[in-house]
Amino acid sequence: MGYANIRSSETPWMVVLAISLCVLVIIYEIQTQSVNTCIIAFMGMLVAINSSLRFLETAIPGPGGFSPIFFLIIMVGYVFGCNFGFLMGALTLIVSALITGGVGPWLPGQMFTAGWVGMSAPLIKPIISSLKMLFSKWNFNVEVASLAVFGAIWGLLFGAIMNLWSWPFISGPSNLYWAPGTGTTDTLYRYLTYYIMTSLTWDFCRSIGNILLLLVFGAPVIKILNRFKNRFSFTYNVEMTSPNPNLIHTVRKT
Amino acid sequence: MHSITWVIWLISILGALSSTRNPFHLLLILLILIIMIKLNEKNSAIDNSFQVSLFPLILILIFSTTLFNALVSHNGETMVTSIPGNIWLFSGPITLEAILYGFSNGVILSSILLAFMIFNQSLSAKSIIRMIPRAFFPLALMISIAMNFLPSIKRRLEEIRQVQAIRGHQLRHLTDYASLFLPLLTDGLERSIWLAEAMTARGFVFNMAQQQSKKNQFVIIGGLLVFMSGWFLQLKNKNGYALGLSYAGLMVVLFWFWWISRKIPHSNYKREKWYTSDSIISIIEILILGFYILPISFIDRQILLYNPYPRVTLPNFDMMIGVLSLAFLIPGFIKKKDSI
Repeated sequence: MGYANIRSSETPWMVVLAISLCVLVIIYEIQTQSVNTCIIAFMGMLVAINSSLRFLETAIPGPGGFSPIFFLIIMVGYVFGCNFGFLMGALTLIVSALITGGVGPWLPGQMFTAGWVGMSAPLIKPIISSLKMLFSKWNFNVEVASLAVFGAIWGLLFGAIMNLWSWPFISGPSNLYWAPGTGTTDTLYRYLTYYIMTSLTWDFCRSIGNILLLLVFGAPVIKILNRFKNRFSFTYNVEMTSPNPNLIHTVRKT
Repeated sequence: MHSITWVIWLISILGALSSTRNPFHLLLILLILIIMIKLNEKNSAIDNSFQVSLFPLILILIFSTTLFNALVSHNGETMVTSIPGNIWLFSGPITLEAILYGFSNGVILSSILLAFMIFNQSLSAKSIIRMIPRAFFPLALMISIAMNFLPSIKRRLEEIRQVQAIRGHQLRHLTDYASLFLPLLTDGLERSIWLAEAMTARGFVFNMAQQQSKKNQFVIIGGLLVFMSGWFLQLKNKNGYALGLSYAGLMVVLFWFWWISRKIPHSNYKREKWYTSDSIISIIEILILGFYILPISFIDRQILLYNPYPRVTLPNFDMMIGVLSLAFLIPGFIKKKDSI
């Protein structure tokens, strides 16, 4: 019994540690591949805008798990790609946690999951292309409708993944909780039951919120982000040549 | 107090919480944390408007976990009452053991929440950003930009709202908020272009390509895989060697990040000061953590590893560990110095 107790009390911290390491490794990989001065400024500003939405959420709480931050994470991931999407999700959560005093063992999990939300957004592009061909004669925005469905799925999935950080903490002898030695199928069944019991209604509000925000603001925000994507797609090529002595002379004289 | 001292304090508290399920010891830690919150309130580094009311939060958390466990966990021998019928999950005996276990769960969760609340109160956002390793300086810079621009974005939002109000725009439906959000987004992105140009004009050019070596990728991802494999093996076989493998993987990843960080040039504009009190507090906190988690002969581990199942007994209280735990309060009595 003693051994089981030690192991089960260790597990939640191992989960937190594992997720933190994964977040660090992914962020390190992304920053070495695709970050430059433009992107630092651009991401910093987008994260500030999105965190201000989280600030509004804290000041005026919406129903259940409704949160406006996922809308911009999905949009940025969809328009700018996987790397941007992951950074946008992870950084929004860390910045808003720093502002609202929400740093805790749940934060690595939140960063990781919100990162996945943004990272997975470009994956629906092929589906949207197929649907556009299928519904070409219909008079509705397939792109926005598909993104709304995507947002709805992530509304539920975010809660399901996030529950995993707290689930091992409340382990105990019940058919709802995780216990060392439980088989895979049994663990999944227990978790599903636990999720339906504790979080489904809460996450449903987040899902509905995502649908509404994506349907209302989706089309104009995609236009704005695409416009800025084109403006940002240039690079500074600093040419390091020896200084022109005449020019220096002129400047000094002035 | 130095940021690292607060991190050591936090780790000690979390270590103590995860090493016991004795309700008396858990309640003592919870009480210590409540006192710490009260002592720390004046020094709070974050906006108090975000602080949730403390006591209702703790009571709701403990009550809900106790109730939840009592209703769904039907194990234990001391039956209090029972739920008749065939209601999925709920029907069955409600036991005293399940109530006590749920109560302990609630106290642990509340204590974790409070410990992080104290950590957030004590350290400013800048101190936390400063702790980000140098290997992640682009990340730290993005966070720093976001933190510094947030107040101006809030001001800009208010300006847009006022301008729209003057134009007779009313916020009645969700669609009406587009007139606030879209100008805010466009304005923010315009400013990001100015900022990028200003940064480049002031000579901020960096290249992460030098860090993007195959060797770095191999060591970091390899270390992570070793860590995960060791952990899964340990979960499956409950093997001490597997746990060692897991820690070895962790050490490899952390060491490599530290090694990469060392190679990145940096300057310290304002260095955080380390006082003698920081050394003393850190040593004390590490010693207390040791008392909680190490097999020390004069501490009865069975008291800490109390389990109400299968039949509840009155938990004992280890006076020695109880008195030592009071040292968790020390940071609360340290007069705040300007550590930067």
